[in-house]
Formats: sequence, C-alpha cells, structure tokens
Amino acid sequence: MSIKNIFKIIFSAIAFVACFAFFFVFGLTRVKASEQISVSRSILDGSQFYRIYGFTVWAQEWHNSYTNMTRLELPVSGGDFSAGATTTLTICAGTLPAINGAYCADQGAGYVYIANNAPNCFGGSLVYMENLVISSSTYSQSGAVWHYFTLDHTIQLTPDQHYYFVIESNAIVSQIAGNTTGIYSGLAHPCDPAWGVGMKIYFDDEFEPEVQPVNVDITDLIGTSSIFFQLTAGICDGIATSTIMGDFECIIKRAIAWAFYPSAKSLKSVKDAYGKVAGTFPFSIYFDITGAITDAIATTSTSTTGVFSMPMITATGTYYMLPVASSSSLPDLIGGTNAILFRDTLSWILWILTGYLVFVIIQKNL
Amino acid sequence: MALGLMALLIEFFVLLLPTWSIWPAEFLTGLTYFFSIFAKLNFILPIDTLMIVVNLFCSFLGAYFTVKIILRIVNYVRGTGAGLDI
Repeated sequence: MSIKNIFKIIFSAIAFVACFAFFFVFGLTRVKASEQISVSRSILDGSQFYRIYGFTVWAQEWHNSYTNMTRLELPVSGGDFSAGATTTLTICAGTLPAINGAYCADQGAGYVYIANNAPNCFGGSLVYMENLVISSSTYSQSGAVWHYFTLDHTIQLTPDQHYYFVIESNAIVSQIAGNTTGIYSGLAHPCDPAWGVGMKIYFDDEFEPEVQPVNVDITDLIGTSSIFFQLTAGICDGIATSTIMGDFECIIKRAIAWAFYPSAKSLKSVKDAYGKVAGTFPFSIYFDITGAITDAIATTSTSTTGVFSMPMITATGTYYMLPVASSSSLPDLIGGTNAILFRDTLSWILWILTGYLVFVIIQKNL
Repeated sequence: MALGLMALLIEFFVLLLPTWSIWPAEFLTGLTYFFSIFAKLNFILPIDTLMIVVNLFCSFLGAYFTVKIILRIVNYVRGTGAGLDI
C-alpha cells in the first residue's frame, strides 16, 4: 500500500467522522428546535400548549413585538411538592450573554419561585403580573398519593423587548417509580401529558382580546435544553469585556459563532430536505427497502422464550402443533453455560461480519 | 445561511424528481411480516443482535451512499476529484 493510499484512507476516515458528526447534529435538531418556542409576532390559541418534558429548559427566547399584552402562562403539574422540590421559572429581560442561572436575577429580571411552602414568591423587577391562580389537588396512582399542582401564571411584558426564560424543576418525579419522597431530577414522561411542565404563550390585543391561532409544530418543542445557548452562553467567559480589546474579542467570538453555527431552522430544513430526497425516484428504490426493514425491526418484539412447533397429523386425521424446540431445548442439550456461550459467539460473529462488510464497502469505494 | 441555501437547492432538486416507488406495498408489508415471524426464533438464535446489526448496517449504507452522492455532485461542480475526494 502506497503512502498516497494511506493518506487517502486517513483523509477519508476523517471525512467520515465529520460526516457522521454532521448526522449527529441532525440527531440534536429535535432538541435544538426547542428554540423555536420563540413565537415572535405569532398569536397562539389558548388551546395550544407547549409541553416541555424536561427539567431544565434553558434560556429560551421570545420577542414581544405585538402589543404590551403578551402573556406567558406556566402551568406546572405532577410531583411531590411536600418534599421540598421546586420549579423555578426565571424571566430575563436582557442580552443573551448575560443570561444564565446566576446572572439572570441580577439583570433586572423577575422570577417565579414555585414550591410547596412559597408558591408565589416573586423577586426582581419584572413589569408586573396579574391573574395569578394557584390551585392544587391530590392525585392517586397505584396506591401513592401525589400532589397535583397547577399554577396558572399570567405575566405582562413590555413590547419590543427580547425575553428569555429558564425553567428548572426537580419537582416532577417519576410516576412509574412510585416513590414520593426525595428530590428527583431528569425524569420525563413523554407519553403522559399530566406529568411535565407545560408552557403556552399567546398574544392578545389590549382593546380587542381576540386570540388568533397559529400553527406550531408542538413535537419540535419537546426538548430539555438549548444546545445553541449552551454552546454560546459562556463564549465570553474569562474575557475582560470592560476593556475595549476584551469587548472586541467577545464581539469577534460571537460573530464567528453566529456565522458558523447553523440555526435550528436551517438544520430542520436540511433534515426535511433529506427526507424528501429519500422519497423521490431513484433514491426511493433504496430508501423504501431500508426504511421498511428498519421500521419492521423497530416495531418487532423479540423474546428469549417461546416454542417452535410444526403441524402434525394424528392417527384419527386431526391436526395439532407438535412442539419441536423451546428455549430450554438447547440448554438441556449442551448445558446452560454452553448455550449462553453459543448465543454470545453467534452474536460476536454477526458483529465481526458487519464490521468486515463496512470495511469492504469503504475499501471498494475509496 | 449556507445550510439553509443548501436545503433550498435540495428542495429544488426534489421538485424535479418524480415520487415513484417501484416496490409494491405488499412487498414492503411482507418484509414487516417476515421480520415479525423471524423474531420468534430469538429464543434459540440471537435474532435481537441480528436486527441491531441489520439496522446499523442499513443506517450505515444510507449515510455512506448519501455522503458519496453529495461528494460526487460537489466534485462534479468543482470539476475535479473522484470517489470520496473532497
């Protein structure tokens, strides 16, 4: 193998890693798309409900550009509030670099602190709030009694101002675990709308309180964090922005991040376009087959127990299913340890064959 | 912006292509049925591993040949390179 070919292989490997990283970013699109909760100039129907199944929804943004009657409602449900668990909604009015959990309250922001003992403890200097409705009830599930906590919180904001909100919650505990004590984190209930933090934002007019609906892809909003803000929030950390040169350095860094980090909209567009290409001829010849196989595998359940039977006829002419092999057949024949070894060996052979196939395909196409 | 532009070009490209599917729906349904029956042999053979492997391999082929086609188009546009050269 010549030096040139070696370089070619290394270069191709790097290209592949980059490409897979690209597809990995696609995987993050769903999370990143949660930034689209920014609904500037949009009017949401009251029935539309952003449900964010997560514990830290970090620095989401929306822009109040319609009237000064933008309202943000945060109903919180589920969880054991008697254990001291908390849900915090932090509203920040400021510039993005300053927005994080520590700085937010210092930026002239208001925050809503929701807890069992202090359900309406407000701080900061957010414009003002109205129509505060807090109610709670109990919810029984599998013998455990849960506090079903609902907060209907309405906030008025000033127009032409960007706002960011942060929701941090450890109050939503696992319904499945059935444990009502302690503080939990990170559990989500994607299938149960009764458990989670929901948020709806809608605009109305000061004089004509009509609500106009807008179509929002709610699935895109399911996410627990904003990758972009996580990546760029601390971009100027350690830089003395009080100096001109420091400020200049920060500006350059932010400009580079802005220029080279694709927006959620762009990533989603590429992902959608990729899906459309897969559905067109001649690409569909290939993608239809692989799609059917992957879908079939995804919806197929495998079990390590079962019986393999074959039809058999009796002397009287009736049919029945004769058990031929079951999950205990092989262990009975060669022993339990050997049966596991046999299965593991086959698995490893499959993995090695796949690796070899991938290697051959890459080699052939270099 | 570049990524958005790329998506726009792909969308335009898609407009030119027909949305044919040469595989009969029965065939694709048959594949699903085949795998559901095949999975029942998992009690004696590592079908679960086989499915993971097939899934991975299909994903690899999808990603690999997509990248390859894109690179071919890029190479064609810039008038040089071959295969996976970029």
